[in-house]
Amino acid sequence: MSQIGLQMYTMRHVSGDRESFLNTLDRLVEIGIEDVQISVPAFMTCGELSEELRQRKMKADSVFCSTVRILDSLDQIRREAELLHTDVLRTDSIPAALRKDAAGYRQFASDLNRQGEALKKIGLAYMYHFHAFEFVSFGDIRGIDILLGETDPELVLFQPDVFWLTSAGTEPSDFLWRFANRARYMHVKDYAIRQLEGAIENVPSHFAPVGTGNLNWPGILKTAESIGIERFVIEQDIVEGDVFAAVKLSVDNLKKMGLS
Amino acid sequence: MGISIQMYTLRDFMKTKSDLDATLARVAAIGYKTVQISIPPFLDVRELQTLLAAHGLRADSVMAPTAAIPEQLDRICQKAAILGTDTVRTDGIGHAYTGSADGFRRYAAILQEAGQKLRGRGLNFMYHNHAIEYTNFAKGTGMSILLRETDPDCVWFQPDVHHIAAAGLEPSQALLAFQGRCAYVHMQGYAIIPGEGFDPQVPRRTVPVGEGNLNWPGIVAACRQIGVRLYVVEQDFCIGDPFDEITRSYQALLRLGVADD
Repeated sequence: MSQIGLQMYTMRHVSGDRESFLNTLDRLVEIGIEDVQISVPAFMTCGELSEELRQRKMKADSVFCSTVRILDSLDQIRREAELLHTDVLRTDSIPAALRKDAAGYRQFASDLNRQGEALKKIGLAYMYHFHAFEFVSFGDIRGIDILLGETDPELVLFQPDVFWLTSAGTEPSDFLWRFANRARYMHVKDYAIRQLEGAIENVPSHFAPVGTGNLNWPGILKTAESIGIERFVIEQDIVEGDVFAAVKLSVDNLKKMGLS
Repeated sequence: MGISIQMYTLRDFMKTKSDLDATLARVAAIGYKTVQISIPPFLDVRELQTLLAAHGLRADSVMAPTAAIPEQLDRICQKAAILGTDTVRTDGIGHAYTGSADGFRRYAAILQEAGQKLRGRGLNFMYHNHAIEYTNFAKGTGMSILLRETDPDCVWFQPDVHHIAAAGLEPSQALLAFQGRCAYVHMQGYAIIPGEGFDPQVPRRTVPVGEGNLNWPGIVAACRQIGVRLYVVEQDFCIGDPFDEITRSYQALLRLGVADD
């Protein structure tokens, strides 16, 4: 098991069919990726995916299911988790309809607890991956505060993402403490500034390979280690240039920072 | 220690002399004693000083475009003397310099020349940055070039905590790079607008100090550590009533332990 993983969403433009997908897996093995965060592709069964990963000594770090389908899909989830040899289920974002106010976030927190409880009964940990919009304020409380405060740490884990923590205006090396003992995996990518486009007040940010932007990596890795992060999952939502080179650069830089 | 307000925040309420007069009255009533203001087109520097004094306000600096500083030294010194300030602030880096590390090096030389000349006249010179100065080049950011290639005695900075965060840095850490060359700091909050999608450019907005997601206690601690004397409220865009928002900022700074004396 490596401390470094890859969210395969990063590779979506080079894995659209079976042939390119398998070729991409081969190339990732060469780069040194063993652990992947992956959804079962449309052109494959979960059993076939499991076999392709096994042949390459790769491993899926979780299975995926949308929040709204979990309670009706427990048998399928259990089967997929067995086939992929994982004990983690990750999910998608809070439904748009529940994002509008604090009551919506409270509803979603209660849903997460219920889903987490059902998953615990079949031996799975439940992991929510947030973005930046959960950091919206409703008076004195933010969406993320509600999710952290009103979900049961025994039932709901989080998968923090250092880019989105930064996009939200928090300092990741500080805010990550809020996930102490509630996070096993973390998404990593850098936050870079490129050319001036438009007004000086609205300089846009760019996704970038780890170590090539402005994030406070020493501080982030220090806190991540303290709160018990086991796996740093590279996810670069948008890549400028060759995606394999970008992933390799992230892997190399994470290793230079001391990860194995 | 003190609190100031960059009057750009209230730009829509100071387009005539009578509007400016009324706006300064409201600013003073909130508690502000210091303002950061450019000389408006309808006043000369003496008239501005008279107006400020009438409201019990003082200017924290005089504004001068970087490129014009070497030729306009006498005039700048005169304006500073009339406004009773020892600090010159300047405009932002132009588009022409931000595209390459070399461009930042050339701009650093321009800042250095202006700062040296002003130091020769006993004036402090400070550059106000946004996020673009943190453009990533192969060997570091534009800001690292500006910091490295200017003399800490001649070229100071007036960093903005919102824009440091918008560049992806942690303000409470990034401010430490300005140790000893940062007397003023721009303070504005950073919040996000609720969105439906996952666009990488998550809509962020400027909000009053103390609100939003910035690490305020960490920021104030870093400011104390690097020698900040003046906390300048600047809110690029207000959502509600700007006077209400700058009141919230002023009170939040007091709550954060910033004295206005």
